Amino acid sequence: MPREIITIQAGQCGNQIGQEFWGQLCAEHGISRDGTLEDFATETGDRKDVFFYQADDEHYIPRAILLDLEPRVINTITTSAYANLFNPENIFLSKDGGGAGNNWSLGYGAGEREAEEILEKLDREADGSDSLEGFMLLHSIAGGTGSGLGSFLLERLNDRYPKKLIQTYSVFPNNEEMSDVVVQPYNSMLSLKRLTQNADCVVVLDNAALTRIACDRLHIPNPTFAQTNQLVSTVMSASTTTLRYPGYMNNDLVGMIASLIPTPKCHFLQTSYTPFTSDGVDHTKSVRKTTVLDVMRRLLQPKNRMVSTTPSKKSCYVSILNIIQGEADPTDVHKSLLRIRERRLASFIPWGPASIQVALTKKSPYVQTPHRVSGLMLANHTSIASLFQRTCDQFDKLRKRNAFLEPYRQGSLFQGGLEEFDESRDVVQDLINEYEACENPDYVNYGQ
Amino acid sequence: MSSKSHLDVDKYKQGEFQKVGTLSLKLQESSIIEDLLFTMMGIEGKFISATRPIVTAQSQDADYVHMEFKVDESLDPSLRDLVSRILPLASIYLSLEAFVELHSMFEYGFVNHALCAAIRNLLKEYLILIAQLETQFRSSPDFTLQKLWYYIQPTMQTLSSLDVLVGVIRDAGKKEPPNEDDVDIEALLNPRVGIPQERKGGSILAIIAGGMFNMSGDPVTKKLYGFLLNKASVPYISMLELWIHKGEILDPYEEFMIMESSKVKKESIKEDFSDAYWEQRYTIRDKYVPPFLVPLKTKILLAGKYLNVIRECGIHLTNEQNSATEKQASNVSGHTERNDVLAALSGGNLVETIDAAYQYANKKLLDLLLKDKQLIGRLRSMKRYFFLDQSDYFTHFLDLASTELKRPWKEVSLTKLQSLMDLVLRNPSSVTVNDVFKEDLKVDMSHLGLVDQLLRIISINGEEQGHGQDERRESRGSIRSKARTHSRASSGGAQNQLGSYDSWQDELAASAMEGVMATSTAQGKPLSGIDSLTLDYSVKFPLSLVISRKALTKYQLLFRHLLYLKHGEQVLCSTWIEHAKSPVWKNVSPELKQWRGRIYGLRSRMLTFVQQFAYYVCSEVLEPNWNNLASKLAKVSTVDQVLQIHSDFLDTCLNQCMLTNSKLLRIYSKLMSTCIKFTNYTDRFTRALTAMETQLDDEASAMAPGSQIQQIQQAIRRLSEFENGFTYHLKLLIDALNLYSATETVQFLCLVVRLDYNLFYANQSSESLNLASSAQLQ
Repeated sequence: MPREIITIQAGQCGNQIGQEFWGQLCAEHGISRDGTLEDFATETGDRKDVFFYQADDEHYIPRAILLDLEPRVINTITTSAYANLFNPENIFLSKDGGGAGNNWSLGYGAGEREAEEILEKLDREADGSDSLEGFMLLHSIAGGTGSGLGSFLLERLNDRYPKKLIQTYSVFPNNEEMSDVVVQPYNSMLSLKRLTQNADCVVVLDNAALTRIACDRLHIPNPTFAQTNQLVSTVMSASTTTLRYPGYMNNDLVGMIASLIPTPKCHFLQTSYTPFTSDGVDHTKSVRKTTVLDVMRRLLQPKNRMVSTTPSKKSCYVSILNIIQGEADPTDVHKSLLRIRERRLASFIPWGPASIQVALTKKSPYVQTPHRVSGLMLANHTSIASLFQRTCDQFDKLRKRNAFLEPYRQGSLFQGGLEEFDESRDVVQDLINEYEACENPDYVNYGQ
Repeated sequence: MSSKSHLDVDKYKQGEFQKVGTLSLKLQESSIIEDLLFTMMGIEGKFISATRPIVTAQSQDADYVHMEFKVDESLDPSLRDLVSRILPLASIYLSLEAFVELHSMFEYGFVNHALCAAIRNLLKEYLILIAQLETQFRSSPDFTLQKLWYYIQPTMQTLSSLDVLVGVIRDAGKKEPPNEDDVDIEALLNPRVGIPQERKGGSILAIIAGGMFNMSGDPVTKKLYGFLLNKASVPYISMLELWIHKGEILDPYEEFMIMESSKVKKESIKEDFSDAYWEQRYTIRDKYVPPFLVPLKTKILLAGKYLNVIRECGIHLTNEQNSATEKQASNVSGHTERNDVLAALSGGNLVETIDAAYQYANKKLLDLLLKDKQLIGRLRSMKRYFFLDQSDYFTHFLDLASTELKRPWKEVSLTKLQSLMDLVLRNPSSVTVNDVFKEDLKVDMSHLGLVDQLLRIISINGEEQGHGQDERRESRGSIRSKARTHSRASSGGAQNQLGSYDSWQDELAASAMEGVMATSTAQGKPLSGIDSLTLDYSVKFPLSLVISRKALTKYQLLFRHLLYLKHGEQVLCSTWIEHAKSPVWKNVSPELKQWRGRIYGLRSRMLTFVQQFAYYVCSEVLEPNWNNLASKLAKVSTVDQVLQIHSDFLDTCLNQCMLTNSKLLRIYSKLMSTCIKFTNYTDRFTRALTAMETQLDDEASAMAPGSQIQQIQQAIRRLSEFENGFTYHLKLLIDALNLYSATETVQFLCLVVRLDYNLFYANQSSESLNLASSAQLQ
């Protein structure tokens, strides 16, 4: 039971992604929807206990905590086929059930109010694990609950478990088109500060890119959230395969993260995944030939990236970890590495050694895919700063006009004024600067 | 005239006549025939006398010197001529008699006995012929010496051919005088061994077969030799069949081609580092291999050897199966039984029998190893434990045992570690829980550090290399010297490599010295538990043939190599956590950012190095080689192939993990120890950083104790040391790897690519070169 990971899903988006994620994990481990092991699940070689534990009656319970301030999504889960999978004690619903109304401040405030109950659940889960590796937070940063309550939790987790890793899967809003939630930039900015200061690793997913991938790759004209969430859950399950199907390497989270994040501050990761398949969508293009080189090359293509960034000429990779699932031959990997270097398909930081790490893992024996090989790339790329810059720009537009600030003043953080906003803006600017500095050869001496 | 002749006869009978020449021609003939008939049986006659051979210096060595017969000079010349032509028959007969008598003694062995019996039969026929001739002589008045001469013609040829053969057998073993000393000493110690090898068992068959081959132009002699070979080989062939069908040796006179050395017992194999059981228990006596079996000798050896292994495992070879093969064998050899040895000369049925038996034994043992004893499953489980192919169990173990392993190795409680390991392995959620072999895994402590141990091994190999070319080749064969496996693969480059080894000798000797030095200094600072931790695996017979002590040692070396990397990765990761999570590191003052950045940079370079190295070892060395092994084992057809493939696999792994090259190894160990020292220094860096923060505060710095300033200065100095040491050695390693990938192990190229994928170090060194050159220009 080593190196367990506790999943915290907060808010509408977090819970929806979580729902997909657990469905995917169950399918991959041969666990039925009520937590019992399927009869066909006789293969060994997987570790279910990283994400599940067994109840007295042997059925598997996810190490998950479901948090929301409004009952809609959670109710869908508790009435779905997975109703019996989760531990009901781990589901937290705000008593008033009013939700956060897309207000970060309300979400944060709810966290402060309900801190005791939520943390009690966390402590119970943490105590139930032998050597807890860390927490995984699923949320969106634009809404109210996921961003506000999530931010609150990030702060508290750091105080309470100072040595445990905190990884988040954070869904960034689609900031290419105007959203119906006008205060998105505020919420994002406030959350970003916490993600910068309190998380150890943030996997950035962005709705714009997810929609684009769903359109281009899966040929869904107007993808629903359920469909984009499925993409996210695929990425999440792929990024945790090395933990769940132990191989030679990368059997713990810290080993993966530590090499991806040489400078702790620059801990925002981008992902690519290929090839995508979707249950709901059969009319994806005919199955293509997938070799290791194909997969590794496609992973580097911007159109497969699940974040919309605008790389500058100087943008470069700080580090790359490719998780290749399926039958991959190590010699192919070597050849692909050489080919990629030859063609200069990826540029790397000039101030230190960086490389494409490749972890080869098994595929789940229970999930059939038409592809021989599939791959996930976790990459630390400096172009992520452009995403933050966009958020800052949008924030600045609103902030300049002091628009829509009234609802925030109710929160305890803003009692004394709106400095919190400007502070957050500074933190994020710092982060952008750090990433830009990262592109220079003398980064090691940065700060002078 | 008749009365005179009568008188003559009387006189003759009274012994008064000394000279046969005085008799009439007719009488001369009849008396000489009578004499001849005796002489042909080796008895002196009246007019034919035996002369004792003169003992000369030459003949002294010979076992037997032919008796010579002489006829009375006065005999009529025409008769004398005929008689002298017949007379050699007598000496031949005596010689054969003597041979039969001597070689029928028990110590000459079954083959000689059988040969003697055959010769005796022939002699009996010869005596019958003499009896018939005598009857003729007595009854028929027309019987003349001419007729006698005519009748004995064929027999004469037979016997003289026999005598030639006997002569060859007598001469055998005399040709090499230096051998005699050995023989004499042995004879003194054990009279039974007094019979030289060349005159026993298989050698006899070899002589006969050789004679047969030489005489192939002479059908009669060839047939005779064929007959003798057939008869003489009967006991040998039955020994052979017993061996190839049952694996038993019934060889009281030590004349069979296979020798059993009873000293080598299977029980000793676990402690023994060599493959002694397999290599030495049964060996071929080359001198006893008849030439017609030479092409088959390994098959014969292996067939019986395999059966023996099966029997040693306590598996009874069921009669059914056995009789099946015997039936098959007898079917093959049955109808041509008489000729089978003859046929063997041209590759006939004996070959098939041996083939069948070999196939049977081979299949039996392969089945035993692969199916009953689950060799592949065993190897897979060893891969899991020693190569950490699903290392979750081990990560857990290191977590649990971390405090125990920090202590010096002598204070580590093995029982505690073992119980922790058992706990981890039996954890129901671990992938190891379903491994049926997990009971066999034991935790152990080695008193030598990995690098020291490897350097010692390399230095031993190196010393052997010093003993001249021939011996070097030999040692390569016997010790399967690890460093040089690849040379087997590329025999073309072997010559080159030998050259380079010569130049390496000095260096290796130096490294050996250094290895000893290192251990002696290490005694001052004892190894910690983690450095001496190793695993052991109990393997039972007959799997211990494949997974011998030596193979297990190689597994252990690979394991400790991996462990070292894993440990390095783990401590660097915990340093990362410290850097990422502790407030001191997170919120530094802007003035200290640069210093922090350098530490971060160094840490990330180290982590990249360790992880890329581990990736290389796991996914570019161990996994492909193992897959290769598994696919070869699936197709394997003999047990010896299994052994060969397995040992090649381990050697390749060791070589590609660069554990066999002392130069690379030393650079590598420097790098790793720098990494580990750096992580040990994390706390001091943290304290130094805190101290610096307070220094920044002017007021505080005024009252700062001197020790604090010292602490800071020391930390700054240490950081530069770490940085320079690490970068220097890493560049050295990359250069060395580039060199060796071109000359020895191509696989290193993959490692180079991994270690410096974005050409950071390559550019850096060229930059620094440019700087240096530009500085010179200025």
